[in-house]
Amino acid sequence: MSTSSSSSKKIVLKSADNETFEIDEIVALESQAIKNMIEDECADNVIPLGNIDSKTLSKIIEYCKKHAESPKKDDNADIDEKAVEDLKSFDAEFAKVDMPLIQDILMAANFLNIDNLIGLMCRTIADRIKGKTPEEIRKILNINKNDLLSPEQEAKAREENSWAFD
Amino acid sequence: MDDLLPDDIVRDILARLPAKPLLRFRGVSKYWNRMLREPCFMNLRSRRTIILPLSETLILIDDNVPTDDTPHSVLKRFYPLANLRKINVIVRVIGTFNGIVLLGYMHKMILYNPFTGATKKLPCPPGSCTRPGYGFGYGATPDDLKIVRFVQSYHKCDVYSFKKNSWSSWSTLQYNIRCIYFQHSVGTFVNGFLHWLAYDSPKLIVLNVNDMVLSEMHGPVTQNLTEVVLLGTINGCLCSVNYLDNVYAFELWVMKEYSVEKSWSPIYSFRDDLNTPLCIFDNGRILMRSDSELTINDHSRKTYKKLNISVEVREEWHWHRMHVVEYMESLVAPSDMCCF
Repeated sequence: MSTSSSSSKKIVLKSADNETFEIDEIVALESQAIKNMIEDECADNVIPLGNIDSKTLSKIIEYCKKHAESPKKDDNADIDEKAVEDLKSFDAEFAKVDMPLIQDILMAANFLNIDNLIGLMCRTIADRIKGKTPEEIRKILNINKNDLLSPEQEAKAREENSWAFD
Repeated sequence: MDDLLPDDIVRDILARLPAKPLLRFRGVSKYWNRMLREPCFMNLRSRRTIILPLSETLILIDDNVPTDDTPHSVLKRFYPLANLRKINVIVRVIGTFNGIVLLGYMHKMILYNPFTGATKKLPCPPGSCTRPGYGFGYGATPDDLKIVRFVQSYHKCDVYSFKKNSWSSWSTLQYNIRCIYFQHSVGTFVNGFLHWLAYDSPKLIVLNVNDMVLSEMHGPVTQNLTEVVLLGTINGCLCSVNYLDNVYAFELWVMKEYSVEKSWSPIYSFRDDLNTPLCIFDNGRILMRSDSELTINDHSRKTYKKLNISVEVREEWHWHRMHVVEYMESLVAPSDMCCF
């Protein structure tokens, strides 16, 4: 997977379906969870990620690579406007995937503790659901069918915020 | 996907939703209905919206949403308690506190939560007056919330205390408050003080809300001939937009350390001889208006968003007196702000 120089330290990630991905340590450090493992020296050569499949993991690595390469926001340095714009358009393209994959990436990013990616996925989901009906939301997000409001509760919610239902 | 998203992630997603879908989604499940009404959820969300009074409707502008998403970026709302408002009466947005907006229908005062739609009518101030100056803010602590109304012709200031639920008056004869620029009649609240533009710009008139003492403060001093045209806050700091007469340009200044006149610092300047600034967002963007259009300008990034609001020509007469306010969306009930 890796394209950078051989001198940098490598980390191997193993997906649930036993695919391995060798990446530069600097890319892996985008994940706060992996960073902690490395700092605590409890990371073996291969880090098994038993709850992330290879399709999701390769997307996550694509994201971390791009973000690891980009100049970090630093209070002292002038942020390169072009780099910021470039990262923004990368993020926009990155998020153009179907809803199940978005949710898988979000779960994995949450597990790996990659803040920016969690934010991007949450923003993407919010953007996609804002025009939907509660019924559609239940389907998209797998809401427990046993937790529905009673007709009285639903009527009360409507009445209290009637302007939102126009 | 088989797994359900964890609660904190669901909160994170919902916190990014505009007001309308958020309230509609109370109907998704019992859990969502409960969560969306938790004050801590609203604090996490911390979303700001602008309220702009047009002659027929209130306009709410959500700057977090791309402007091409008109249904979510621009909302039209009927005036609350419209029966209290005589036709064509100019509505003043006097200020905001905890997501509640104070509206003035002439001398009638209405507390309004634009997010939930809840309202509460307050007692009217004593007597009527022409060209009053208004302010809304608190003194030492937020529970010392007050409304002030300056009546120039009678040299008095009426004060409504939420704690006492009553109006009282004091004489302003010892001050020459004619210099308060009451055309822009609404004060800007920062740090326990209300601020108005003065006729002898760049001076500001300052009211200590705690002890009701008036004083003067110097606005930004520049080498150019300058006039303060608008006050606001950026990151909670007092800021001003100045107009430089000789070069047709505006300058944005921030008072970095409150009441330290030396700490006025220029943020940026921009040339514009067609538009007038209406409101400074807390994030530093500026709402500008031309004859019939509104734009949100981010001069530090040089981006300009045209808002999809058509303003009729007959609105024009009240543009120059319009006060536009940015409020934080909240679940606070107007009735909870009054001790009665």
